[in-house]
Amino acid sequence: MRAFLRIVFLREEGMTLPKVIDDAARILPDEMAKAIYKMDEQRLENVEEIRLRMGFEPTVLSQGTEQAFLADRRVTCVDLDTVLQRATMSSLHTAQDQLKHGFITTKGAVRIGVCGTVTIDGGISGIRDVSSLAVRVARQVKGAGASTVSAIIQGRLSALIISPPGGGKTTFLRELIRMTSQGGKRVSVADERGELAAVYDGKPMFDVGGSTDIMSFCPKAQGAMMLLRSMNPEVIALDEITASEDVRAMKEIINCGVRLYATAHARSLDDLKKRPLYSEMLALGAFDCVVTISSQGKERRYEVMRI
Amino acid sequence: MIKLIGAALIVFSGGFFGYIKLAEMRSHTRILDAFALSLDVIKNEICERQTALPKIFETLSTKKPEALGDFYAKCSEAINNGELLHEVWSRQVLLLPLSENEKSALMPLSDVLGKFDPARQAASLLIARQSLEAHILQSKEKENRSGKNLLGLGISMGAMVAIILM
Repeated sequence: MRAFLRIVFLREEGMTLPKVIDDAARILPDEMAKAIYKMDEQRLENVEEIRLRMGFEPTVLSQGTEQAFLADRRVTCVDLDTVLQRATMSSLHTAQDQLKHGFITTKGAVRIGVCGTVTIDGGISGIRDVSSLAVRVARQVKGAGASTVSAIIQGRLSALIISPPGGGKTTFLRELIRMTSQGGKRVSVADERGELAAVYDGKPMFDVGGSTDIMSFCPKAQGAMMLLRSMNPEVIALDEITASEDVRAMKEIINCGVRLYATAHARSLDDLKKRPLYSEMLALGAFDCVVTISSQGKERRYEVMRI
Repeated sequence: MIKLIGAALIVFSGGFFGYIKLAEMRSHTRILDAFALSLDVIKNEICERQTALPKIFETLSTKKPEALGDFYAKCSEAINNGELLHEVWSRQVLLLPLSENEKSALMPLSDVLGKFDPARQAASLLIARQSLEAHILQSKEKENRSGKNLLGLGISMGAMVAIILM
């Protein structure tokens, strides 16, 4: 009841918030949440991240620039602890595996990047003495690249989506998964970082369609193999191909006649071909097309190239 | 005849008073016992299944005695509403029908539960459980020692009042 009153009290002073910001603000310490609720709507629309660094003013990242949103207020270790506690419903032990990868995904698809002292026990076993947090405000843009999505689905194509970091690859891939799934195809997603579907308590926080099966927080290559064997997929989706194991898994997938959707960091097809891992991947013939996403201001352009 | 019945009733009510005191002591021990067992459940759920605390508390909220069920129900509800465990736990422990020493055995858990890795939480739960066990032993000894005395005292007091009135 007390917490409910807390949220109501904070909202009364603010305004109607987009749900994604609301989900992020809920996990912040009260003072910071209030400051977020007081921001003007236009500024809120563009908030990409809320950053808390110990000993510094809290900031919001908006259109590539960081700005303090609570003057003369330094972030303390209690603030950082409060965010982690609220994000995990006072159950940090449930996020141990995610913490090994440096982040936590919360109810509401808010992703929190965690920095601190890494503890090693064989491999990375966790993070202690947390020094900074990046609360990422994830957005699902339904209809992103609609004509491109439709062309890929109708052409029954395997697609590789490329763009620089923060270029909208994951948003586009999520949309491609959703629309393919809604079209009745069985889509399996190896969601290693929990960004595509953001499954929380068994339920995807993003709409990825009713015919989608998700394997969360499992290494992509292993997850894809498990999905291939167990879920009889028609399409497998992988976000951010970065390792040779991923490429080996892709080979298995295409040999089974399953279509692939994947993303990779690159500016263009030429840029992609220059890198040994990706040129090996392209040589597999796993993809029918490459979708390049480029940004012009707030607009995004989607270009499809058959390969 | 009426005097005799009256005297018997007075003796009976004295005995009943003693019996109520004994039942209160037993209920107190039962609460402590249930709490000790619930700490085992929390430890196993955290270590074996990495279950979130609100879910563990929700399961425990259906258990008896009522004081234990209520405690966990309120903790679960508050965390689900965005409160932090250490605030809720400390507040709810203070409301429990336990002695100050018994409450202090549970209090340190507010700084550990849900904040650290399972091993560290398990260690703190074990310490709290051992401390509760010591209180349970004391409570059972007190129950054995004082319980029968109270029952006897109640009956004697009742008898004495009955004799005086007769």
